[in-house]
Amino acid sequence: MSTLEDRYRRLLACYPAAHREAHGEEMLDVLLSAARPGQTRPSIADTADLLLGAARIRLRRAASGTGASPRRDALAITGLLAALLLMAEAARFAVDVPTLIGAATAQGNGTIGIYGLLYFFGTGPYWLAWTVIAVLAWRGRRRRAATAACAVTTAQIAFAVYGTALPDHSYAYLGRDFAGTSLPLALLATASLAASPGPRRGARLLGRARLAGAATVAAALLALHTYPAFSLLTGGQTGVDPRASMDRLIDAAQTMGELRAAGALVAAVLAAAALARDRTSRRAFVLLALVGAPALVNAAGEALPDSVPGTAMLLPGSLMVGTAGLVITGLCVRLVESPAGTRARRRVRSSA
Amino acid sequence: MQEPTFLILTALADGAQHGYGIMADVERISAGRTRLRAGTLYAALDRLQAERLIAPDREEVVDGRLRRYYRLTEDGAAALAAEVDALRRRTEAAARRLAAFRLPGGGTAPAFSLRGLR
Repeated sequence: MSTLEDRYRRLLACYPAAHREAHGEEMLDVLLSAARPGQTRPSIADTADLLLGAARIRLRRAASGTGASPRRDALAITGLLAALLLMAEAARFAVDVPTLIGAATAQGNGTIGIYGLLYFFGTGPYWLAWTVIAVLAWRGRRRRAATAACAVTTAQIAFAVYGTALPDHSYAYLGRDFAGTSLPLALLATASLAASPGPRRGARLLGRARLAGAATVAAALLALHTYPAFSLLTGGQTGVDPRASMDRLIDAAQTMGELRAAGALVAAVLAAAALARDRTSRRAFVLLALVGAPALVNAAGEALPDSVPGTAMLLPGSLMVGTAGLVITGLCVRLVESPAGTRARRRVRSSA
Repeated sequence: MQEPTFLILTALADGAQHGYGIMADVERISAGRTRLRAGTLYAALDRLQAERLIAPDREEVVDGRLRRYYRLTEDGAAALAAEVDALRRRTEAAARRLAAFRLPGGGTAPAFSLRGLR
């Protein structure tokens, strides 16, 4: 027998899918809160009002041509998260600068030359550029930010391809620095700036709690990847006994690899949990797999002693793993959202 | 500004509220004259969100059900203030003219008849 809730649900089915996804449960709460005790059927007035409301929302969306685009909203969320992770990477670079200066000056007897300068600080301008883009985007200068992001990402792709395709040419190492995790992150952030409602919209969709969670996770990941964190593990020792110091360094590298892999795994699980809630977030999660899948494989490579070292996974490998991750997560989300899955969940909900 | 819009913004000017809270508050503010139903309320909330006059504030789960709170944005407060101003000017103009109004028979308007007696 249909309950009042079932009958209200059938009426709510007249609303656009995106609106139902965002407000369906909430409207059901309002309708049931307003129901009389013992009521089993929606009143005629309520039914007419719901149908009229659905018609008004559909009309308004059709007229404005905006709103109901979960894909663009998903891209806005993903773009925001990608920009956040890029900023974390930029912060990591900034934190590492003192260590890098120390290493650079120790090697070249004070003068490091152009090679050393590029080797240690070559990615600096890149992080600076993304920081500027992020500030522009956040202050509402969408168009300028998008143009700058396109230029920076095009240059990055050129560098990455050069470094990967011609590994023996000069400065190819610098090109490979640009072919890591930052490449898919930059691609997502750029696509989002160019073709979505923008990072502010993404922040609104995520809400304060999830945004704070994402920032915390990004900060934790950034901390795990800094040189100061690594030197904490080695006790900051510079090596009195070269042999003992090397053993300790290898141990520390192994521990750090495991910590980073655990961090990446925890971040992925948290992201999945936080983004499983609604259609738009789930699509954002699928897009994030482009970054997440190669990052996880790299982290596993660092942690597992006998696997292919994560750093050896170059551009083509990362792209392949990323694409595979995209396809697999996409299929998983489709499966969860399939009519059968929805029916099963509804059964669970109504029996609970 | 339509009356439901005005009443919803007024309800939210007191602080963030969820859907059912807005409904009850609107009924109270309008002294029982306006009762918003769910369909009207959510069509209005959808439009007000698109116009950036209100924004989702926080969510709570009560008895396994999602409750989303909405709050007035700065734009929303400005729009409500402008509407209050316009309404005040209109009522003042109406009151002024009504006070000066003389019925053809020589009496004053009923609402101001007390003044006539004094």
